[in-house]
Amino acid sequence: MSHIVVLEPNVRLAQTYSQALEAWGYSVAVCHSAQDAVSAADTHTPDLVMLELQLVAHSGIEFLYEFRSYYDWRQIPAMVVSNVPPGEFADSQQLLSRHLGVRAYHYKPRTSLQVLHHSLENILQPA
Amino acid sequence: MAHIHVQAPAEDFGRLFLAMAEELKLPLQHIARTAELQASVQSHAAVSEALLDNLRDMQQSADMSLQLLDSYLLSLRLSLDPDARLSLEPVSVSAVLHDTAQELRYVASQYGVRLRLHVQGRYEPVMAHRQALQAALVSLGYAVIEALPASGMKQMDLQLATHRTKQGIVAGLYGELDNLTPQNLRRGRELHGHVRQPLVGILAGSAAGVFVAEAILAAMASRLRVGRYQKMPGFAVTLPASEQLQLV
Repeated sequence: MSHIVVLEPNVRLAQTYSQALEAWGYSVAVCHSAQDAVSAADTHTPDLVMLELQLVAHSGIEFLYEFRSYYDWRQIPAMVVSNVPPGEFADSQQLLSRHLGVRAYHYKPRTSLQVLHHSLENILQPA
Repeated sequence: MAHIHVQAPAEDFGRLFLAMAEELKLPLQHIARTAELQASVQSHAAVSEALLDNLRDMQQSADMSLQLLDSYLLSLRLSLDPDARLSLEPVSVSAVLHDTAQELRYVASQYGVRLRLHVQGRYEPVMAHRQALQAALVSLGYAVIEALPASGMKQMDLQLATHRTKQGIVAGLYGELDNLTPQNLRRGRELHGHVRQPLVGILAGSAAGVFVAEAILAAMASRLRVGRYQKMPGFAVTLPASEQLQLV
């Protein structure tokens, strides 16, 4: 069973994502802050981190920089599910994908659970 | 007692609406995703088809509102920031119309509207911003779909169509909107922001979808107008063909 750390500041939305992920057969650790997500990953190394970029006190980008600074977590894929339009990162795609390990970027207002599910399956499928 | 009226500049209200619209996205996302989750989970349980339909309708309504809000935010950002411009690139109108039809299909079926896509021939790309053009067409589509049941027609059709003119490639949405005339659209623009129903003969509500689309198209140096296609009136926009790619 793949383990996913969900970093989502909105409590109700986080709960919905958590229920959906569990229904699809994943184990989930829900976190609302960057620090909680680091602690959760320390407790149980995830197979994937799913995160919003707009967090309290830190940005998701800062979180990813910190996350990647730990050697053991450098290869763990990240999936952004954010209210920040991807167009705002049009010039930074290389930073997100190559340096921060973002394997998929989903714009929340236009992303159904079905799309998330397919994306997760694509990223987590065995090579 | 003296009353002091403090008039906030329109720009301040714009920024306030910007912040509020961002906040409104959260409950809408919660409703949409929760309804989607429940419809998915309940479909395996012994529940009535009516309940599942209600959950799917709830999801679609919330998603539709999210998209309108998102398009509104885009238009507001563009109007508040004088330096904000949409970068234009060669775009296939046919592909945008196809994706627009995909987005509108479910809501059209909810309203009993038959959606048709008419793409004649292979046209050269136009200069546009793909996501913004699609957002504008989807906003218009929602507005027209909501308006069509008032036409009283037994069979309601919405045509998404494209054709070529001397000025460029026209993309439009056409339906039985008898009161949609250039005069009524012009009058609606004048009334927009001053009355509750600026396009009263065509749309029952605030016509937000039309004016949001207009603002987005304006940011691409294009203008929404009333057009006709196969004798049906509709909203149309003429987009300049991309001369870059005509040489290819």
